[in-house]
Amino acid sequence: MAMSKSKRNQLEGILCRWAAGREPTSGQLAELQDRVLRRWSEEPMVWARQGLAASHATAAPSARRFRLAAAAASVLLVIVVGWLAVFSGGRDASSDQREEVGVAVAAGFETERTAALQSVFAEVDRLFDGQLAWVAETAEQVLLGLTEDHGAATGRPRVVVRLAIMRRAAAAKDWVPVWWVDVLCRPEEVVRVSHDGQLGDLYLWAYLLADGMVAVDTELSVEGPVQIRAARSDLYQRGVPKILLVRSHNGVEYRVLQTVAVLDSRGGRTG
Amino acid sequence: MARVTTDSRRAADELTDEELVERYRRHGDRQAAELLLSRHLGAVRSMVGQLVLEEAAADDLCQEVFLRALRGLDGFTGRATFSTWLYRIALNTVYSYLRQRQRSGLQFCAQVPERPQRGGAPEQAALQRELEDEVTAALAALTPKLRAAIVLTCLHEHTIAEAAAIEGCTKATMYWRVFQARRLLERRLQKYLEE
Repeated sequence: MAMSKSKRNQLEGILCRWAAGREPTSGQLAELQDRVLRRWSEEPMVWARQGLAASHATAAPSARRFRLAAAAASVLLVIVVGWLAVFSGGRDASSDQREEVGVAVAAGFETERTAALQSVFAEVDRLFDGQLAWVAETAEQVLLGLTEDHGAATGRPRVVVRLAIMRRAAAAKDWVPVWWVDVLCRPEEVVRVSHDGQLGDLYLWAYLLADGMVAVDTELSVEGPVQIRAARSDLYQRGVPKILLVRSHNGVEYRVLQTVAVLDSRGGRTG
Repeated sequence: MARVTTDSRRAADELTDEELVERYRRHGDRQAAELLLSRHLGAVRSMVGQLVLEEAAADDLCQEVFLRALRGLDGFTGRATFSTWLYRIALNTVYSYLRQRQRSGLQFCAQVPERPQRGGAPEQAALQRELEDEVTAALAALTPKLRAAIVLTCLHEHTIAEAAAIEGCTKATMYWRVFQARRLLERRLQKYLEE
């Protein structure tokens, strides 16, 4: 049924009047803007980013340095607590240098996060009748990948891969995570995410070896103040992070770390 | 953060969205990000409200949209314009919310905000309010994608090509959605349209 031009114009008029009656007032918008800015300024990532800017500038105010340090410390504290809960029993860190431990902790998994990812996977997999191939989670979003292979992998273990980008200013001792992604996938399923706002381009493929090691192919490209591009194929011992990339830019060091864990089909951790 | 002066504010006002993003990315200039927020807040808040039809949720969702955008500014590559990118984040945030609301089994009830009585006869005001309620209900009856198509093209005056770029679909699909949305709205609002 085609709509006449007159009716189309009338309909548009009605819709526009309706919209005009619901417009937020300038006071509401000002309040909303304040809310957003307040929330944004409270986020540790903002301080990390501002720290990057400060490293290019001549001198940063001491109050800001203090807040940056406090935010970075609190982020690391949360990660360290999560890491200790998972790895304190099994991993010998005594041979690692102090600096390396600082980097490695950020790449450890927090059990709660892994469990949440596993639960999302199970729920969505049921929804798609066993066709879910992978789930990827960043600080901002959860992405899903489906497979044609209908339920073929049911009952097989799943692999969790964490990729984290860390940065450290020239004079700083501690590393600060600036970006991360957790991917839960079935072994031998290709995970491919093309550029999507928060997550850059990512290609990942994991294969479980008979001796318990995990072979992982990774290609990562993230746009940001510094372009991060890493491509590597390597064997991973479960729970032991490896450095994929080391970069320096304007006195700031960057590292890309990757850690692998394996979950049984019910979500229990096997390594 | 650099001290905000009237001159630097004026200079920033003259920059395009993309230049402001670049300024933020290169120098961590927070003022540039704040200016992007103030430029687009009104339009995005309107669009989110028109899509969720729920005033209470619209502010929270709009806040979420801007936080996602601000956090993601480092990852903005300029493949699309900033506004297309921002609107896409807004649509995705709204779709996620609507999916979640549907899954949680909450009863959807399109809300009509309380508005002050306008001038004119009480009967006329009552008729106007009835029409507004009908429009809200008609929009609520559309699927989110059809609603987004009509909101983007009719209320926010995006071209079909722009709306398709925001949605990430083809122009043909967007044409079809707009046509379909108009047809359903016209049917629902028949009695308010003169022959």
